[in-house]
Amino acid sequence: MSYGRIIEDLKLNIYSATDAFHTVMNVTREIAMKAREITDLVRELYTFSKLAIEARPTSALLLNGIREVVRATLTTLREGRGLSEVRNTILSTVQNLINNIENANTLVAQFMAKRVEDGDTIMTHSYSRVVLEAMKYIVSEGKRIRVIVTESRPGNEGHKMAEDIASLGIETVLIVDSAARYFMKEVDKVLIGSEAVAANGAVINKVGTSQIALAAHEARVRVFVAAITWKISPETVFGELVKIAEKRPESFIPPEKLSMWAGKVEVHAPLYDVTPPEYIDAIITERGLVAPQAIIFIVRELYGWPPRRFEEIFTLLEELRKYGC
Amino acid sequence: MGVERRFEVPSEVLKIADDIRSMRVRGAGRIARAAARALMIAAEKCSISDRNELMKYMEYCSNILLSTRPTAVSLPNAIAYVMYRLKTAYEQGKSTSELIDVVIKAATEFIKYSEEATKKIGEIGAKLIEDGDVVLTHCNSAAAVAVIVQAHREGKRIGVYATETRPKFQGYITTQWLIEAGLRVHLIPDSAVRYFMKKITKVVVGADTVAANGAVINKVGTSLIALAAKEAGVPFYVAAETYKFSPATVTGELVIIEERDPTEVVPEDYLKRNPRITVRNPSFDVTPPEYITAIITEYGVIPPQAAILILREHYGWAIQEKVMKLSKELEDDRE
Repeated sequence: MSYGRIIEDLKLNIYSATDAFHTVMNVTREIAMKAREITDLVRELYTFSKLAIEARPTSALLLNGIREVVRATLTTLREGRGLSEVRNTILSTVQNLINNIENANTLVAQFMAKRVEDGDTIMTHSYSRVVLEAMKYIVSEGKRIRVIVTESRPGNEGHKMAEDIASLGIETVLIVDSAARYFMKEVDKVLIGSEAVAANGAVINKVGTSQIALAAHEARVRVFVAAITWKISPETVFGELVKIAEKRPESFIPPEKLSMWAGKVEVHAPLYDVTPPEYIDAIITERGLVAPQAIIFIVRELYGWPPRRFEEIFTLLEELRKYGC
Repeated sequence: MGVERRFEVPSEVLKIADDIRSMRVRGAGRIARAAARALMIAAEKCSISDRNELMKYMEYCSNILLSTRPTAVSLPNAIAYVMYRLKTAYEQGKSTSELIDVVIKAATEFIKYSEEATKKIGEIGAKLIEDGDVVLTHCNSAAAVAVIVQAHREGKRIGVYATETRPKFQGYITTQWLIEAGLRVHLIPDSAVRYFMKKITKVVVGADTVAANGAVINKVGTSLIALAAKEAGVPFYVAAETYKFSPATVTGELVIIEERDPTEVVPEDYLKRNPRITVRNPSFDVTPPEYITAIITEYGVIPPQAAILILREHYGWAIQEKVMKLSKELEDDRE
């Protein structure tokens, strides 16, 4: 099977980490259902999982989700089970993951909604499923709010975010990314989603998030980040060390400009940036609100201390590959 | 401005006003020179013989030009430069033809001075740029580009980052100017400014207006860049000709931040599809003086808080005129 299109989307076109997760889980489910031979199944699962992780190395949710699937598959393989049992294991693992993550997202959205008061002006950036779900709860609780959305270049997914927020009946204002500081004095709270949370509480999210958080900090506006615990990355010191994917220049700069400037102009469009913990008031997880600096306690709850329960994904994949030969 | 339309205005003058309004003529310097040229044409082409009528006609033309862009102070400064000289000559009892000559001479003088000012800023500003610097600029400023290009001509090896500058992508023009001068350019989206700030050693931007307290009004996003520069300890310079300093702010007037059409940001059909979405499109923002390392003017480098020095030295007459007008209004009110 060829995954070119899906991998490209995962890398460059799907902004919500939750959407990226669902895309990967759907393909995983398809792989499990379509395979006729156990070796085919294992090989496809190996190939796709590896591609998906490499396409979006920043997403801890994706990595953690895939690790769950691969781990469960390996357990059945090690026990010498046949195709149907391996298939069923994958399908039930995927279903459990989806259920757990959707439940967790809903809890986070509800907690986030509680932080918002009637009459608040909210600023948000990029496209976040959980923030959008939080807006639904805010509306259903009868709070009237106004939301300022940045268009979120490159990608302009803020245009879609604004449409989806407005369709909830919320007064929505769309602005260019540059105007974030200009409007900050009208804002009561900044609500954003996340791609990953590092062990020190730094948040990796769509590029532009960190300068909005900086402007919020300057204006003493609170910043809340929605992050289910699956987005916490215990194994990596993320920081700027992670290679951050760049949007292709031709996807947002007119082609005639690019050909005219060839060799003289370099276009850089990183997709993510890192917001330091000191600009974040709280990270909202399904286990509750925590100060970013206290994320390490959740790491301890999830993975023990020192973290020992997680297994390195590429080691697991390598073992999986051997079962496919 | 409350002036009744009763003068025939040359079509070239109306065309210039329209070009400024529609941003076919952009950039504070070009706007100022276009306005001075419009006044020159207005004077040259008029067939008024009565000197009192001429004054009213020139006042009328000034108001047409003044109404085009609310934020850019270079526009009223250029007009004030010409009109102040005209009024002085009028008070001295000069004849109609002499007054027309005064307008032509003043406008020519202003155009020449403003062109030289930008060049001078390039020379002064280039001294602040060191070999190996990586300079970030925003939007499209002739003065900021002059600084970067002059430093490059002096043989300093410098890297340049330009923001694309939504919504109208003036960063593309800057990029074009810089590569024509032989520089290589890194082009980035506005949202990536903080991401790249650790690679930047100096920020150089232009200004639309410098207020009496040293606050700089410039293309929206400038204040966010200044904040990110401050956070990273990167010096932040503003290149601004003195005709961008606003005498009106000395007497407390606020700088109006112009909000432009939403269709600059999203297409018309997006707006039609989404009646609940409002697009706010401010053209400018205000950078507080404490985020500005220095302002580079054609007379030298000054700390932003010393903006009043420039205003008192070069616009003393305009401030004086304003104060007199205000006190006269107060007296009139009392009577």
